[in-house]
Amino acid sequence: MNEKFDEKSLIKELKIDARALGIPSGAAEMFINKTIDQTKKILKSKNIITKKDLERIITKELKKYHKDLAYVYENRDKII
Amino acid sequence: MSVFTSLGILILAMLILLSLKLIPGIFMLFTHFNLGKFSRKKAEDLSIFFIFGVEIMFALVFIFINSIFHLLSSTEIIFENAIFNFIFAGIMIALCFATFLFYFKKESGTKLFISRKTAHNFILKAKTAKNRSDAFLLGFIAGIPELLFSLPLFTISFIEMSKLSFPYLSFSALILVFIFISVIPLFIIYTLESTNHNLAELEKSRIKNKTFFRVFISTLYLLLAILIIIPGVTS
Repeated sequence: MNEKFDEKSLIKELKIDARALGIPSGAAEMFINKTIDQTKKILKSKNIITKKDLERIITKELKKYHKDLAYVYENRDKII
Repeated sequence: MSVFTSLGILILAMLILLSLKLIPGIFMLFTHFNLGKFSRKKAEDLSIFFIFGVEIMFALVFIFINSIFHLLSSTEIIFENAIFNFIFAGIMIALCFATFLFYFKKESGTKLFISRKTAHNFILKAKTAKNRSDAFLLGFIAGIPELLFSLPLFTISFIEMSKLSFPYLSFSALILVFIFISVIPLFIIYTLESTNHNLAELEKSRIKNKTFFRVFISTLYLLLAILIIIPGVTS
């Protein structure tokens, strides 16, 4: 099934995670924007990408700024 | 069966219930999303209603077991202790193997035995819950898939509690104490998540202890089977 990259909901989800982790909102916004920008750059070179690959790219980018945020993003579907 | 055997069975059943991972897992995610979306006060309020939902579900399970026993006692079915002990011991041994083999999925993370669709539905509900009724309902349904592992524990605990008599503590009060103790991990999770320990830390510790809990819960089921069967054999 094809899905469009939903930037808005991703930002919203990451902001919720960041707040729950106690990351200051300014810093969280900066991490998230940089991650999204970098992800979009990578996506430009590809027409189609699997959901897992997209998640891997986002996790890799988030890891550069905040390891716990990246960990939560990567693992929240694997908790139960 | 002596008082000590009954107490031993109760303690083992309680330890297994405290070690099961589905309700705490859903609660961890629920608290995480609430702390990210709402004020601390609202997150706390919703967490209390989630725990209340779990407690009501446990209470209804006990009421259901009570009704079944009441129904059976009014029929002509004769309860022979030894046979019932063997049946329960058999169930516990089956659960011992089931826990060891498929309680945790053999994948990364702490994915449990429930289907992926059910897990995604729980995660979605935890993410989108926004008021007390959502929180209560999520708490209420959180333990239902795990009844496969917990219903025999509730049943054996019910039987053993009915045999015990404590001064100043009636049977129903004993059940209430049992229900309250079984939700203590949820209070601990809330306290940890609302202080300095976030979801990432808690999940890392769950992954680290995954094998330990797999073996621990299986061993407890086996010990429970032995404790149930021994009085049947000796009598």
